[in-house]
Formats: sequence, C-alpha cells, structure tokens
Amino acid sequence: MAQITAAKPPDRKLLTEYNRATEKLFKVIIIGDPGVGKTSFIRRYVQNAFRGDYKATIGVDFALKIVRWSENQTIKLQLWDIAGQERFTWMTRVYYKEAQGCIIMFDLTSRNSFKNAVKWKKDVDSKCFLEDGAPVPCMLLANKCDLQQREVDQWEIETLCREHGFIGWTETSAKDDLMVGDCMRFLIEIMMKYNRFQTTDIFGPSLKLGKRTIEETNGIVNQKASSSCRC
Amino acid sequence: MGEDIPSPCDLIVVGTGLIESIVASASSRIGKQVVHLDHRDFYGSSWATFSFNSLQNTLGLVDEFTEHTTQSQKEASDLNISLNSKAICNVIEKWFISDECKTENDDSQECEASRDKTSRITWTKSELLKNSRKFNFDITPKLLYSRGEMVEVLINSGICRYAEFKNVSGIYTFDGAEGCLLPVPCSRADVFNSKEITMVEKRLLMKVLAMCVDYENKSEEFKEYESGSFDNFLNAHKIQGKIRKYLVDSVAMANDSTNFKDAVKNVQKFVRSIGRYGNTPFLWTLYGSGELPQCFCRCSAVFGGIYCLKRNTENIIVGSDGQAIGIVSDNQNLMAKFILIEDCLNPLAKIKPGISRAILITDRSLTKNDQAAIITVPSANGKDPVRILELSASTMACPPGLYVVHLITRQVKTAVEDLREAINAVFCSSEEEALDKPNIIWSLHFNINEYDCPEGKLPPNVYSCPGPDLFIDFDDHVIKARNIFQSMYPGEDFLPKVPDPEDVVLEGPSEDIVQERPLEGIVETSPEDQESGETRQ
Ligand SMILES: Cc1cc2nc3c(=O)[nH]c(=O)nc-3n(C[C@H](O)[C@H](O)[C@H](O)COP(=O)(O)OP(=O)(O)OC[C@H]3O[C@@H](n4cnc5c(N)ncnc54)[C@H](O)[C@@H]3O)c2cc1C
Ligand SMILES: Nc1nc2c(ncn2[C@@H]2O[C@H](COP(=O)(O)OP(=O)(O)O)[C@@H](O)[C@H]2O)c(=O)[nH]1
Ligand SMILES: [Mg+2]
Repeated sequence: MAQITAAKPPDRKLLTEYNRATEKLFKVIIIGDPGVGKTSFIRRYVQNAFRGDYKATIGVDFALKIVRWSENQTIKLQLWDIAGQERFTWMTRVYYKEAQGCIIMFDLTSRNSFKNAVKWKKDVDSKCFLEDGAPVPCMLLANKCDLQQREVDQWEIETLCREHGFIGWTETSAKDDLMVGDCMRFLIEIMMKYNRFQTTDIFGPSLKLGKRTIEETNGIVNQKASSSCRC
Repeated sequence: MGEDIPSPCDLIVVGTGLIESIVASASSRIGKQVVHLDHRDFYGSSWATFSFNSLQNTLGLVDEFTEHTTQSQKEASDLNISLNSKAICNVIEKWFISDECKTENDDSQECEASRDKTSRITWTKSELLKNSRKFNFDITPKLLYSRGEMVEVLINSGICRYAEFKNVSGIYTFDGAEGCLLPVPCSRADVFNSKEITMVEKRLLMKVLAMCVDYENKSEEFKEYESGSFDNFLNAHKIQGKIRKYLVDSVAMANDSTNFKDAVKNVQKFVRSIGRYGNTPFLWTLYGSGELPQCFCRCSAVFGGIYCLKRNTENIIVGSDGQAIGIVSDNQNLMAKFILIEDCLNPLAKIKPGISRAILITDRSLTKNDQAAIITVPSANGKDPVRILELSASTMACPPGLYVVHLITRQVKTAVEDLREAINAVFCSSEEEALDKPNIIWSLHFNINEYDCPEGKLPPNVYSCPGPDLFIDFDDHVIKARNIFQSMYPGEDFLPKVPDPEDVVLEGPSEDIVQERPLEGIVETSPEDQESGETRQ
C-alpha cells in the first residue's frame, strides 16, 4: 500500500508522445493461490522492486505498465491483481472480462498451489474466451525458484502444461528478478500474434458510461474508447 | 490455507443480490471491513445471469435455491436465517424443436408444427446446448434509464468502467385489436414523422409531455389531479386512442390504477433520458443484468471486502439488549456491527405472489430489432401489463440468428397461466400460418417470489433487502441501498468516485525498452503438443 501514490498525474507529455506511435492495450490477469507471489511479481515487473511483505492493494484494479515494444509500437499493459481479499472465492466475471492474456502462478515449494493451477485454469476457461471463441492464452509460472526445498518436479509441470493447454511455462523468481521481464515478453509476443487476427467488433460499438472526454484526457485517445460513445 | 474470515468486522452481508452488493461496495469504499457471503456458487442471487448449462443446472436439475442448511444449536433469542423458501418456483422448461440425438420426450404438437416450416433455419437441441456459453439468460432482466439513479451511481462512483451497455433501439406497444406492434415515438422528430397518429393527436401528445416535464413549476395547474389517478388526468385532457396507449403503457409505465404523481415522475424520467445515449431513454447491460451486482462486488473486493461463496449461514446471534452481534455461518461465529440479509433469508418474511416470468428463444425478431427492444402488451380488466424485452445477439444474449425474449408480469396464478395470452398474441402458435411471426424454439417459465417483511421486528442493526420487483428499471433498488447505507453510516459519502487506476502511478521506471536478445528458458507448448483435452463448449 505504501508503494502507491494516488492520483499523481501521469506524465502527459510523455504519454502523448507515445500516442503518436501506435499503441496497443492489453489486459492481463494474474491468478493463483494466495501467497504464491503474484503481487511480488507485478511489483517486480512494474517497479523493479521486491519487498518481503505486500499488504493487499486497496483501491486499484490493476497496475499499469507502459512497454516500449519497438520504435513505433508502445504497449499499455494492464496487470490485474486479484484483490487479495477474494481468496475465499472465485472471481467475479468482471475480473476476467476482456482479458487477452493470463498468468497462472504457483509456488514451487507448495505442492498444493501446483495442484490448484488446474482449478484456476478451468475457472478462467469457463468465464472468458477471446472474441473468436478461442481460450485466453495462459502462461504457467513456477515462482520462488530461488528457494531450495521444491515440492514439484519439472516433468510434472511439463505434463500439466501440455495436458491443460497452457501456452508455455517457466520458472521465475520475483525476489531475485529471474525471468520476470522475459516471460512477460513471451506473453506479449503471443498476445500480439493473436491480436493481429482479431476481428473487429461485428456488432458495432457498445456504450461505456462516464468516459472522459478527449479534452479531459489531454489528447490521449484509447482506441477502444474512441469507437464508442463518450458522454 | 488457514486464513480465516476476520471477526469481528463492520458489516456482514448475506446474499449477493443487487441491494446487498451495492451496500457492500459503498461500505468497503469508506473503509469499513465487509464480509460478503452467499450459500450459492455464483454471484447475484435472484439477479444472476446464466449460460444455458448453468441455468439448467441451477433451476432445473439441482435445487440450488432450496439448499438445506444444517441446524446448529442456538439460543432461544437467535433468529434462524437458513433458507426457508424457494426464491424461484413453478419452473417449466419446454423444447419446440426436435433433436437427432434425443427424440424421446419431444412429442408435443408444437414440435410437429415447427418441423413443417422448413423455410427457416432449423436449430437442434444439441446445437443450442453446444453453444451454451453464447447464451446469457437473466433471471431479472432490467433496463437503465439514461438519466436514472443507476446510471448516475455507476458514473459518479466510477464503477461504470466494469460494464458496457447497448442503447435500447425500439419501444413498442401491442395493439390487441389490430394484432400489431405500434412503435412509440420517442423524440419530437419521431412524433411528427409518425404515420400512426393524426396531427391533432401529435399536438395533444406533445402538450401533455411538456406539461408533465414542467410539473414542479406549474403545480397550481395540477392541483385537482394530484390526488387522483393518471387515468383521471388523461381523461380530463381528452387523451384517447393510440396516444393514450403510448403514454400509459410505455412512457409512464403505468396501468389503470397508477396514481398521478408516480406516473408523472416516470414520464419526466423518460423524457429527460432521451438523447443522452441515443434515441430511446433506455440502456441494456451487455452480457446481462447479472453483471451489475458483480460490478459492485468487484468494487467492494478491490476496497478490501472479503468474498466467500458456497458459504451457508444459519443464525443471527442476538444479544441480551436485542441488538444482533453476529451470525453463525458453517458453525463458525462471525461477529459484526451490522448485518444485511436477503429478504428470502429473513425469518419473519412471508412469501407473497411475486413475478411471473418467461424466457423464450425465438428464430426471428418481432421488431427488426438489432439491439434490444421493449414491447408492452397492455392487459385488459385491471390486470398488469406484460412487458417483453427482446434481445438480439449484439447484446450478447445469444448467438447470431436467434433472439432471447423475456416476459415479465405480476404473478396472479402461475407464470404459464399469467403469460399464455401474451405469448399467443405475439408469437406463432402451432395452428397459425403467420409466417411473419417468430417461432418459439425453447421456453422456460418460472415465478419469482416476493416477500412481506414486517418492519421494526428485526434487531435494529439488521437490514433486510428486497429482491427483484416488477419495475422495468433498477432505480428503486439503488435508492433502497442508499437509504440502508445512510442509516448505517449517517453523513458518509455514498460511493464517491474511485481513483482511475491509470492515474495511480506505481513508483519505479515507467519506460522500458524491450531488449533485442533472444528469449531463453521459456518452455513453449507447441500447438501439436497440446492435447486437446480442453473442455470447451
Ligand atoms: C480458486 C479456487 C476457488 C475455490 N473457491 C471455492 C469456494 O468458493 N467455495 C468452496 O467451497 N470451494 C472452493 N474451492 C474448492 C476448494 O479448493 C476445495 O475443493 C474444498 O474447499 C475442499 O477443501 P480441502 O479441505 O480439500 O482443501 P484445502 O486444503 O482447504 O484447500 C486447498 C487449496 O484450495 C484453496 N481454497 C480452498 N478453499 C478455497 C476457497 N473457498 N476459495 C478459494 N480458494 C480456496 C486454498 O488456497 C488451498 O490452497 C476453490 C478452489 C480454488 C482453487
Ligand atoms: N523466496 C521467494 N519468495 C517470494 C517470491 N515471490 C514472492 N515471495 C514471497 O511470498 C510471499 C507472498 O507473496 P505475495 O506477492 O504477497 O503473493 P500473492 O498472495 O500471490 O500476491 C511474500 O512473503 C513474498 O515475499 C520469490 O520469487 N522468492
Ligand atoms: Mg497479492
């Protein structure tokens, strides 16, 4: 909580500059049992920081990371953390809605969290899919690989990954910053590939209420919003 | 995981219906510790939206709404809140198409009839069920007035970012004598372009609308009507025929006995809501009305609310001073300063006839509608009208080529009996050769109970929340939720705007140029490798 500065104005100039190049927005959800390191992973990726104790993030849905993908391609990544409090239940559909990528994380030192990865995968697949009906690309992360006392073997992970339709897996450590950026890059590449084949909205735009006007956002127009009614 | 539900907390909410979810989010929003429980395995109670399979599981095969809870020991003063009744009853499902795989139980005449009309795209039962997830069936379908309470709350709180909407594209009343639908003109231009009504009628209609909108400023002129019915007012102004139908059935959402003031309030809301998002005053929630309670639940969770589904609740624990001090849930005592329960869990609630509902799947639109349309079938002899909502694929209610139709009216007998007349009037019955009318492919009838809850009998810190009602919009429930919140936390802000996550900047490098070096160490599952063991339907 201490890490969050509310309503600090984003650097408009910087963002406007980004907008001249093409910009893509991706929603990525990060799920897995409590304590496997989801919040640590997001903090590591977005802020390049690691702290031993993260209190549940109060009041924000997602962390935003702007990735400079290439000279003329920026990517806005929304990383949706589970509100830590939802640990007793399944997520609302709102959480899954329109996710284009998913990370399911388990803790290499907790066999139980590994077994539950399958339940999480089923929950994702039952609640959301891409526009063309395909499952949301899902990456399996084996976190805390810096620790010695493992409870899960590599072949088990590989088998599970294949049998349950994950797009790939890797070991990570949010603590020692191992593979954090790389696995996100892998996921972005996949999402870009899928994105290219995505059909445009066959039913025409839907309404989003209370969107900021173009003037208010200082020229920042997100592609989605510009095609729908702003009021 | 050994992590327990915090106790004591500020507020325990039992049931994830609309009012419960709004109050939960408003309370979490001001920093109260909220624990939100539901014995069901889905969000939304009687407000939920289901896929085909989950609807059948929930209503038909599994008695989800009548789950039995274990009786735990209780003090004499404690109140039992285990489910004492079905919230939904008289459920009847019917198929009007054949199925290659399963033909046994489809021997109704309707089935024969639909097989004759081969000119239309024919669906089979298994094809529909294969598309289960493309269907979103609302238990309680409702619209939003573009300038109503729900829209204002969603915008002011920022919760609107979780949902999307479609403008309702048409409003109609059914003319029983002619057997046809009359489009209700919504704008000034609509009125004057209408071919249905005469010039005199147009002027009269505009005049009455203008009077109603200006009601507060000209209360002198209305004095004599204020205490009477809307009918009385219309009679006095010689409003007859079609324009009366428009006004009563669709604009005022009224019937013969609606009092003048309520009707005028609806007329004002209708007129003011036109033009904000489109040509009609109404919005429909994409993916179904069941999204809305979930939006509020997500907001509550983001602000620290704790959610627990499939969690039974047995008793409210009452202290010696008559105040509730907590609840018993799965044999665990959870303490709280305030408790909110659904009406159907209220131990003092008495079931009364509620709502008669039907959900139909049809093969063509009644109205050439490509979004959502509302049709009112007025009922003769003092009964309530039947409201019909027709949803096209663009609302995400069903796959393209099909329509989902909701029928809603006050329960007098059972849903089947209460809605038979309207369904026969509007849709293709088996004998008829009316090719312009839609065929019914599948139907589900059910009743939703309402409850009489005596006031002032529960402990003062326990609130009982009404479930769905007959109104076409959510606004009464939003107002009730706000009243409950303000009575618990007087002077506190009701759902102030949440910070936009894009404005919440996490410290750290904001720019990051992706390296050119190749990726190593990621095991990619190649498409050939993937065993198609996925269970997707
Ligand atoms: C994401 C997820 C959500 C679940 N949601 C529910 C639910 O809402 N209600 C329910 O009755 N069962 C839920 N379950 C099923 C639950 O895991 C067990 O099937 C059941 O509670 C029996 O528990 P157990 O004693 O065998 O295992 P336990 O050792 O109690 O739990 C095994 C693992 O499941 C997780 N878990 C257990 N219960 C829940 C829960 N309620 N919510 C979230 N995670 C849980 C724990 O984190 C633990 O790692 C959920 C499981 C998962 C993975
Ligand atoms: N050793 C080690 N500990 C980690 C790692 N990632 C997270 N943790 C620890 O695991 C605990 C839970 O992390 P958190 O991010 O809160 O998990 P979440 O509940 O999934 O969000 C914390 O004590 C972290 O410090 C890791 O890569 N290595
Ligand atoms: Mg966390």
